[in-house]
Amino acid sequence: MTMVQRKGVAETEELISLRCVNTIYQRFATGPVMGRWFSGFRERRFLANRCPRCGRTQIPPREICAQCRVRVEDFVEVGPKGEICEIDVYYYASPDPLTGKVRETPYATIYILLDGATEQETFAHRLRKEDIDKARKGDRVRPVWAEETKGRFKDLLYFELDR
Amino acid sequence: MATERENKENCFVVEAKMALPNHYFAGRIGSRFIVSLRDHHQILGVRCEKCHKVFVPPREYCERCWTKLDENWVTLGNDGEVTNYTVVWYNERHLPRKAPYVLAQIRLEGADTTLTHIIQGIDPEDVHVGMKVSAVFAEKTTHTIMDLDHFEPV
Repeated sequence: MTMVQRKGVAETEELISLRCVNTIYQRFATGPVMGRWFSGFRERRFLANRCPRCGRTQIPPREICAQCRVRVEDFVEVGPKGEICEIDVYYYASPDPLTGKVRETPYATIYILLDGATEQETFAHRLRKEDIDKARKGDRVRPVWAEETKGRFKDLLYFELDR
Repeated sequence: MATERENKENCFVVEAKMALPNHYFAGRIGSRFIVSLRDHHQILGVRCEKCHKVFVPPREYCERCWTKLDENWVTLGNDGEVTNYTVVWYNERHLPRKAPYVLAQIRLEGADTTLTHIIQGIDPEDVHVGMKVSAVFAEKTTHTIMDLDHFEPV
Protein backbone atom coordinates (compact mmCIF):
# COMPACT_ATOMS: atom_id res chain seq x y z
CA MET A 1 0.00 0.00 0.00
CA THR A 2 1.38 3.41 -0.88
CA MET A 3 0.36 7.00 -0.18
CA VAL A 4 0.97 9.40 -3.02
CA GLN A 5 0.82 13.17 -3.05
CA ARG A 6 -0.42 14.27 -6.46
CA LYS A 7 -0.07 17.70 -7.98
CA GLY A 8 -3.06 19.92 -7.32
CA VAL A 9 -4.68 17.47 -4.91
CA ALA A 10 -4.95 18.95 -1.45
CA GLU A 11 -5.24 15.77 0.55
CA THR A 12 -3.06 12.71 0.11
CA GLU A 13 -4.47 10.15 -2.28
CA GLU A 14 -4.10 6.57 -1.18
CA LEU A 15 -3.07 4.17 -3.94
CA ILE A 16 -3.25 0.45 -3.36
CA SER A 17 -0.77 -2.07 -4.67
CA LEU A 18 -0.24 -5.59 -3.43
CA ARG A 19 2.60 -8.04 -3.78
CA CYS A 20 1.84 -11.73 -3.61
CA VAL A 21 3.32 -15.01 -4.80
CA ASN A 22 0.83 -17.47 -6.29
CA THR A 23 1.98 -21.07 -6.35
CA ILE A 24 0.66 -23.86 -8.51
CA TYR A 25 1.62 -27.49 -7.94
CA GLN A 26 2.19 -29.34 -11.19
CA ARG A 27 2.93 -32.86 -12.38
CA PHE A 28 4.43 -33.56 -15.77
CA ALA A 29 4.28 -37.11 -17.18
CA THR A 30 6.33 -38.17 -20.21
CA GLY A 31 4.47 -41.26 -21.31
CA PRO A 32 6.49 -44.15 -22.77
CA VAL A 33 7.59 -42.52 -26.06
CA MET A 34 8.97 -39.24 -24.80
CA GLY A 35 10.14 -41.26 -21.79
CA ARG A 36 12.60 -43.13 -24.01
CA TRP A 37 14.41 -39.82 -24.39
CA PHE A 38 14.88 -39.60 -20.63
CA SER A 39 15.72 -43.23 -20.21
CA GLY A 40 18.52 -42.64 -22.74
CA PHE A 41 19.94 -40.09 -20.30
CA ARG A 42 20.95 -42.96 -18.00
CA GLU A 43 23.61 -43.94 -20.53
CA ARG A 44 24.15 -40.30 -21.53
CA ARG A 45 22.60 -40.87 -24.94
CA PHE A 46 20.15 -38.79 -26.94
CA LEU A 47 17.41 -40.96 -28.45
CA ALA A 48 15.30 -39.28 -31.10
CA ASN A 49 12.74 -41.13 -33.17
CA ARG A 50 12.61 -41.14 -36.95
CA CYS A 51 9.49 -40.88 -39.09
CA PRO A 52 9.20 -43.89 -41.46
CA ARG A 53 7.66 -41.68 -44.13
CA CYS A 54 9.61 -38.40 -44.19
CA GLY A 55 12.73 -39.51 -42.34
CA ARG A 56 12.54 -36.53 -40.00
CA THR A 57 13.99 -36.98 -36.51
CA GLN A 58 11.90 -35.81 -33.59
CA ILE A 59 13.44 -34.49 -30.39
CA PRO A 60 12.03 -35.24 -27.94
CA PRO A 61 10.42 -38.26 -29.59
CA ARG A 62 6.68 -38.23 -30.23
CA GLU A 63 4.32 -41.13 -30.80
CA ILE A 64 3.18 -39.67 -34.13
CA CYS A 65 5.13 -37.72 -36.74
CA ALA A 66 3.85 -34.18 -36.31
CA GLN A 67 3.96 -33.59 -40.08
CA CYS A 68 3.00 -36.94 -41.67
CA ARG A 69 0.58 -38.10 -38.92
CA VAL A 70 1.93 -41.63 -39.02
CA ARG A 71 3.05 -43.73 -36.08
CA VAL A 72 6.79 -43.52 -35.41
CA GLU A 73 8.49 -46.57 -33.95
CA ASP A 74 12.19 -46.33 -34.88
CA PHE A 75 14.56 -44.72 -32.46
CA VAL A 76 17.92 -43.34 -33.55
CA GLU A 77 20.77 -42.04 -31.48
CA VAL A 78 21.76 -38.44 -32.23
CA GLY A 79 24.54 -36.23 -30.89
CA PRO A 80 25.94 -36.05 -28.29
CA LYS A 81 27.62 -33.04 -29.90
CA GLY A 82 25.91 -30.50 -32.07
CA GLU A 83 25.87 -27.03 -33.56
CA ILE A 84 24.34 -23.85 -32.18
CA CYS A 85 21.61 -22.57 -34.50
CA GLU A 86 20.22 -19.82 -32.31
CA ILE A 87 21.08 -18.19 -28.98
CA ASP A 88 18.56 -16.43 -26.73
CA VAL A 89 19.98 -14.53 -23.79
CA TYR A 90 17.52 -13.76 -20.99
CA TYR A 91 17.88 -10.76 -18.71
CA TYR A 92 14.39 -11.01 -17.22
CA ALA A 93 14.37 -13.04 -14.02
CA SER A 94 11.52 -15.42 -14.77
CA PRO A 95 10.69 -18.17 -12.28
CA ASP A 96 11.85 -21.71 -12.97
CA PRO A 97 8.63 -23.70 -13.55
CA LEU A 98 9.98 -26.75 -11.74
CA THR A 99 10.96 -25.06 -8.50
CA GLY A 100 9.33 -21.64 -8.50
CA LYS A 101 12.68 -20.06 -7.71
CA VAL A 102 13.64 -16.97 -9.65
CA ARG A 103 16.43 -17.77 -12.08
CA GLU A 104 19.82 -16.18 -11.94
CA THR A 105 20.31 -13.84 -14.91
CA PRO A 106 21.59 -13.59 -17.53
CA TYR A 107 21.06 -17.12 -18.74
CA ALA A 108 20.99 -18.42 -22.29
CA THR A 109 18.94 -20.96 -24.18
CA ILE A 110 20.54 -22.39 -27.29
CA TYR A 111 18.86 -24.26 -30.13
CA ILE A 112 21.18 -27.13 -30.98
CA LEU A 113 21.22 -29.20 -34.13
CA LEU A 114 22.54 -32.46 -32.71
CA ASP A 115 24.73 -34.54 -35.02
CA GLY A 116 22.54 -36.93 -36.99
CA ALA A 117 19.33 -34.93 -36.46
CA THR A 118 17.57 -33.75 -39.59
CA GLU A 119 17.65 -30.10 -40.54
CA GLN A 120 15.32 -27.81 -38.60
CA GLU A 121 14.84 -30.35 -35.79
CA THR A 122 16.81 -28.49 -33.16
CA PHE A 123 16.76 -29.16 -29.47
CA ALA A 124 16.69 -26.33 -26.92
CA HIS A 125 18.73 -26.41 -23.74
CA ARG A 126 20.75 -24.19 -21.45
CA LEU A 127 24.21 -22.90 -22.38
CA ARG A 128 26.98 -22.85 -19.77
CA LYS A 129 26.96 -19.46 -18.04
CA GLU A 130 30.64 -18.76 -18.72
CA ASP A 131 30.12 -19.36 -22.46
CA ILE A 132 27.30 -16.85 -22.96
CA ASP A 133 29.55 -14.02 -24.19
CA LYS A 134 31.77 -16.29 -26.28
CA ALA A 135 29.21 -18.43 -28.09
CA ARG A 136 28.18 -17.65 -31.67
CA LYS A 137 25.82 -19.24 -34.14
CA GLY A 138 27.50 -22.21 -35.81
CA ASP A 139 29.73 -23.01 -32.82
CA ARG A 140 30.03 -26.63 -31.75
CA VAL A 141 28.74 -27.64 -28.31
CA ARG A 142 28.88 -30.75 -26.14
CA PRO A 143 26.59 -31.83 -23.29
CA VAL A 144 27.59 -31.67 -19.63
CA TRP A 145 25.98 -34.35 -17.49
CA ALA A 146 25.27 -34.67 -13.79
CA GLU A 147 27.72 -36.86 -11.85
CA GLU A 148 25.10 -39.55 -11.60
CA THR A 149 22.55 -40.03 -14.38
CA LYS A 150 19.32 -41.76 -13.44
CA GLY A 151 17.05 -41.07 -16.40
CA ARG A 152 15.80 -37.77 -15.05
CA PHE A 153 15.13 -34.36 -16.48
CA LYS A 154 17.98 -32.99 -14.38
CA ASP A 155 20.59 -35.45 -15.69
CA LEU A 156 21.50 -33.08 -18.49
CA LEU A 157 22.90 -29.94 -16.87
CA TYR A 158 23.74 -27.75 -19.86
CA PHE A 159 25.81 -27.55 -23.03
CA GLU A 160 29.26 -26.00 -23.28
CA LEU A 161 31.42 -24.89 -26.17
CA ASP A 162 33.34 -27.79 -27.72
CA ARG A 163 36.67 -26.10 -28.30
CA MET B 1 4.10 -51.35 -29.96
CA ALA B 2 1.56 -52.67 -27.46
CA THR B 3 4.28 -54.17 -25.31
CA GLU B 4 6.17 -50.89 -25.55
CA ARG B 5 3.21 -48.99 -24.16
CA GLU B 6 2.86 -51.33 -21.25
CA ASN B 7 6.51 -50.85 -20.45
CA LYS B 8 6.39 -48.48 -17.51
CA GLU B 9 10.17 -48.39 -17.43
CA ASN B 10 10.19 -45.53 -19.89
CA CYS B 11 7.53 -43.47 -18.13
CA PHE B 12 8.74 -40.55 -16.05
CA VAL B 13 6.84 -38.20 -13.81
CA VAL B 14 8.23 -34.86 -12.72
CA GLU B 15 6.71 -33.06 -9.75
CA ALA B 16 6.98 -29.31 -9.97
CA LYS B 17 5.92 -26.13 -8.26
CA MET B 18 5.26 -23.01 -10.28
CA ALA B 19 5.56 -19.83 -8.26
CA LEU B 20 4.48 -16.55 -9.76
CA PRO B 21 5.64 -13.40 -7.99
CA ASN B 22 3.04 -10.76 -8.80
CA HIS B 23 2.67 -7.07 -8.10
CA TYR B 24 -0.87 -5.82 -8.55
CA PHE B 25 -1.75 -2.14 -8.74
CA ALA B 26 -5.39 -1.24 -8.23
CA GLY B 27 -5.00 2.04 -10.12
CA ARG B 28 -6.34 5.42 -8.96
CA ILE B 29 -9.95 4.50 -9.61
CA GLY B 30 -9.68 1.01 -8.16
CA SER B 31 -7.86 2.31 -5.09
CA ARG B 32 -10.62 4.78 -4.30
CA PHE B 33 -13.21 2.01 -4.75
CA ILE B 34 -11.38 -0.24 -2.27
CA VAL B 35 -10.65 2.54 0.24
CA SER B 36 -14.36 3.38 0.26
CA LEU B 37 -15.31 -0.25 0.92
CA ARG B 38 -12.73 -0.50 3.65
CA ASP B 39 -13.18 2.81 5.48
CA HIS B 40 -16.81 3.75 4.85
CA HIS B 41 -18.54 0.48 3.90
CA GLN B 42 -19.80 2.23 0.81
CA ILE B 43 -19.80 0.82 -2.71
CA LEU B 44 -18.86 3.46 -5.28
CA GLY B 45 -19.63 3.58 -8.97
CA VAL B 46 -19.08 6.15 -11.71
CA ARG B 47 -21.73 7.79 -13.89
CA CYS B 48 -21.56 8.65 -17.57
CA GLU B 49 -23.81 11.70 -18.05
CA LYS B 50 -23.85 11.22 -21.80
CA CYS B 51 -24.93 7.56 -21.77
CA HIS B 52 -26.97 7.81 -18.53
CA LYS B 53 -25.21 4.72 -17.20
CA VAL B 54 -23.73 4.01 -13.80
CA PHE B 55 -20.82 1.57 -13.83
CA VAL B 56 -19.58 -0.65 -11.02
CA PRO B 57 -16.81 -1.56 -10.42
CA PRO B 58 -15.82 2.00 -11.31
CA ARG B 59 -13.66 2.63 -14.36
CA GLU B 60 -11.85 5.69 -15.69
CA TYR B 61 -13.55 5.85 -19.09
CA CYS B 62 -17.07 5.09 -20.31
CA GLU B 63 -16.91 1.85 -22.29
CA ARG B 64 -19.47 3.20 -24.79
CA CYS B 65 -18.44 6.79 -25.54
CA TRP B 66 -14.95 7.10 -24.00
CA THR B 67 -15.92 10.03 -21.81
CA LYS B 68 -13.62 10.39 -18.81
CA LEU B 69 -15.58 9.49 -15.69
CA ASP B 70 -13.09 9.88 -12.87
CA GLU B 71 -14.85 12.86 -11.31
CA ASN B 72 -18.41 11.46 -11.54
CA TRP B 73 -18.51 9.32 -8.43
CA VAL B 74 -21.82 7.99 -7.11
CA THR B 75 -22.51 6.06 -3.93
CA LEU B 76 -24.56 2.95 -4.65
CA GLY B 77 -26.90 1.11 -2.32
CA ASN B 78 -25.55 -1.80 -0.32
CA ASP B 79 -28.56 -3.84 -1.43
CA GLY B 80 -29.08 -5.35 -4.84
CA GLU B 81 -30.71 -8.03 -6.94
CA VAL B 82 -29.22 -11.25 -8.30
CA THR B 83 -29.26 -11.18 -12.10
CA ASN B 84 -27.28 -14.37 -12.63
CA TYR B 85 -25.35 -16.89 -10.57
CA THR B 86 -23.33 -20.08 -10.62
CA VAL B 87 -22.33 -22.66 -8.03
CA VAL B 88 -18.62 -23.43 -7.71
CA TRP B 89 -18.23 -27.14 -7.06
CA TYR B 90 -14.47 -27.63 -6.95
CA ASN B 91 -11.85 -26.74 -4.39
CA GLU B 92 -8.67 -24.98 -5.32
CA ARG B 93 -6.21 -23.25 -3.08
CA HIS B 94 -6.57 -19.88 -4.75
CA LEU B 95 -10.36 -19.76 -4.60
CA PRO B 96 -11.90 -17.54 -1.92
CA ARG B 97 -14.20 -20.18 -0.38
CA LYS B 98 -14.57 -23.92 0.10
CA ALA B 99 -16.90 -25.57 -2.40
CA PRO B 100 -19.79 -25.47 -2.84
CA TYR B 101 -20.26 -21.72 -2.85
CA VAL B 102 -22.27 -19.30 -4.94
CA LEU B 103 -20.84 -16.66 -7.24
CA ALA B 104 -23.46 -14.23 -8.43
CA GLN B 105 -23.83 -11.15 -10.54
CA ILE B 106 -25.57 -8.55 -8.45
CA ARG B 107 -27.18 -5.34 -9.70
CA LEU B 108 -26.84 -2.86 -6.87
CA GLU B 109 -29.37 -0.07 -6.25
CA GLY B 110 -28.37 2.81 -8.49
CA ALA B 111 -26.13 0.80 -10.81
CA ASP B 112 -26.62 -0.23 -14.43
CA THR B 113 -23.95 -2.92 -14.47
CA THR B 114 -23.48 -5.89 -12.20
CA LEU B 115 -20.87 -6.66 -9.58
CA THR B 116 -19.71 -10.27 -9.33
CA HIS B 117 -19.43 -11.50 -5.76
CA ILE B 118 -20.07 -14.35 -3.32
CA ILE B 119 -23.47 -15.09 -1.83
CA GLN B 120 -23.50 -16.74 1.57
CA GLY B 121 -26.05 -17.63 4.21
CA ILE B 122 -28.27 -19.64 1.87
CA ASP B 123 -28.31 -23.17 0.47
CA PRO B 124 -26.90 -22.96 -3.10
CA GLU B 125 -30.04 -24.77 -4.30
CA ASP B 126 -32.24 -21.95 -3.04
CA VAL B 127 -30.47 -19.11 -4.85
CA HIS B 128 -32.57 -17.67 -7.66
CA VAL B 129 -32.49 -14.84 -10.17
CA GLY B 130 -34.33 -11.80 -8.82
CA MET B 131 -33.36 -12.58 -5.22
CA LYS B 132 -32.65 -9.52 -3.03
CA VAL B 133 -29.27 -9.50 -1.33
CA SER B 134 -27.34 -7.17 0.94
CA ALA B 135 -23.62 -6.48 1.32
CA VAL B 136 -21.69 -7.75 4.35
CA PHE B 137 -18.31 -6.09 4.90
CA ALA B 138 -15.19 -7.79 6.17
CA GLU B 139 -14.11 -7.26 9.76
CA LYS B 140 -10.44 -7.37 8.86
CA THR B 141 -9.14 -5.52 5.83
CA THR B 142 -7.07 -7.11 3.06
CA HIS B 143 -7.08 -3.91 0.96
CA THR B 144 -8.83 -5.83 -1.81
CA ILE B 145 -12.33 -6.34 -3.20
CA MET B 146 -12.69 -8.87 -0.35
CA ASP B 147 -13.13 -5.96 2.07
CA LEU B 148 -16.66 -6.46 0.80
CA ASP B 149 -16.80 -9.96 2.26
CA HIS B 150 -19.96 -11.34 0.66
CA PHE B 151 -23.64 -10.73 0.04
CA GLU B 152 -26.42 -12.37 2.03
CA PRO B 153 -30.14 -12.73 1.36
CA VAL B 154 -32.24 -9.87 2.73
